[in-house]
Amino acid sequence: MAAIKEEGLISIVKGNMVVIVGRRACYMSYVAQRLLEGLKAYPTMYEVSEVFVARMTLIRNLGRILSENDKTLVAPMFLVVFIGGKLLGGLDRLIAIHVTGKLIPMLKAAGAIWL
Amino acid sequence: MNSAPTQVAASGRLSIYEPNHQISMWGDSFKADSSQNTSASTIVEGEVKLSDKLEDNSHEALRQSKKFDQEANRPSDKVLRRLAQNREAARKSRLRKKAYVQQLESSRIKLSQLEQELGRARQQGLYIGGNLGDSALGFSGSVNSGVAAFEMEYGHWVEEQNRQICELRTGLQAHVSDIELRILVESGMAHYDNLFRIKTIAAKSDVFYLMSGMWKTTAERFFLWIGGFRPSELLKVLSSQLEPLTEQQVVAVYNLQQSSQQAEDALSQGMDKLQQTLAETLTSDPLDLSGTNNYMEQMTVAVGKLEALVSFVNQADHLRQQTLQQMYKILTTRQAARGLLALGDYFQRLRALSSLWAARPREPA
Repeated sequence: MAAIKEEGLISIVKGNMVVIVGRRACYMSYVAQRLLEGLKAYPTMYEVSEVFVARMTLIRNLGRILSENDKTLVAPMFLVVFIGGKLLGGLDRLIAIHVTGKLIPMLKAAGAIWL
Repeated sequence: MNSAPTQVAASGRLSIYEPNHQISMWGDSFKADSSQNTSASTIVEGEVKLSDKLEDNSHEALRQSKKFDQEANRPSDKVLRRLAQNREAARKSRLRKKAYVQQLESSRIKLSQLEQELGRARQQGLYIGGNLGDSALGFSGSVNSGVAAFEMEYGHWVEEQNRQICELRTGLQAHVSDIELRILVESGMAHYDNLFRIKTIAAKSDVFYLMSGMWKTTAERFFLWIGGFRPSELLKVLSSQLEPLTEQQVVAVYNLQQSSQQAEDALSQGMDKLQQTLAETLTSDPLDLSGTNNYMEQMTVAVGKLEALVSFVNQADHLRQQTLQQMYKILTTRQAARGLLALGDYFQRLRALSSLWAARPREPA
């Protein structure tokens, strides 16, 4: 569960069963971590820099501005949870998956928990 | 216009009636009134007593007016009609005044009742609608309206909720068809969706207001968890009311209780962490002279941390919604109807408890 700096994000995501990508001192990342740890799935915590966050937010907003789709504020991108190298979503997605009973099978399939 | 002769005639007529002046005026107004049924009780009584006198007066009026004919112009029909109209107008004016005074009196009584309630509520530390207290000193404009809007919408929500609970109760007691029950259940679920929607908007406006629970009644506030009810509490209320359940359902409900509790615990731990780090951020050596720069930095960091509360409230509401929806998936229509009724009834009782508590007899302070 060590927090790692920017580089190698992709290799980290692919190389670990459960990864939480989030900003430093983000409370929602902490909540996600506690939830997964409670299930005995010990996630790797990846900390992104604020520069990275700013860049990603700009790119995301750019898409919206150019498509003239929706000028409202973009929802926060981070945190993002990866299970078995695949993107799951944010904290609300994680909670929804868990409440509907799909999280544990997913963790088992990724080898993060057994029994 | 024959004002001069009219005046003479009018005053002449009145002087004849002097001894019975008041009564005759009253009597005449009865006569004008008899076709309309607007008499209050006192007037009716008066009318009965004076009916004899009316006859006498009118006879006398005829005799006296004949006597006057020789001395002055006969009072024309126009004059008579105008006098009658004046009397009618005066009577109506008196009635209006009476109605107005009665209205003032009842308003005064209502006002003193409201003041008493307010005094009692203040003692209980209840949140008076629209009053932000000390939470929004710097942002009175927009925050005020956000909070006020939420309070109003929540008030409507509770009213609609009560109505829906009634419908559910009568529907279940009358054993209506599953199709009708389904409609009731779906509108019940949609109604909860509405609640979470308006809470999300309010969280952007003033998250501390939501977290304080001041928009709920006192007993509900006792159970407050991150700006609302605990999902585990919801499940406890439902589970006991849903028998019989199939084995499959029992397992599903158990799993839901587990995962909901786990998510609840994770959020609670997050809140604890927030409290802890916030306290640490605000702690510094008060004697540190070089600390003035640090102060602003610390405060900025602290403000940033408080913004996380919005996320907490949103995630907590999201969990509540997910728990409700998952329960809906597990249950049959009839079970869901009973469940919604049990839940609504539970919150109604909590609200009633709050009122009883506020009204309980106490020794004067």
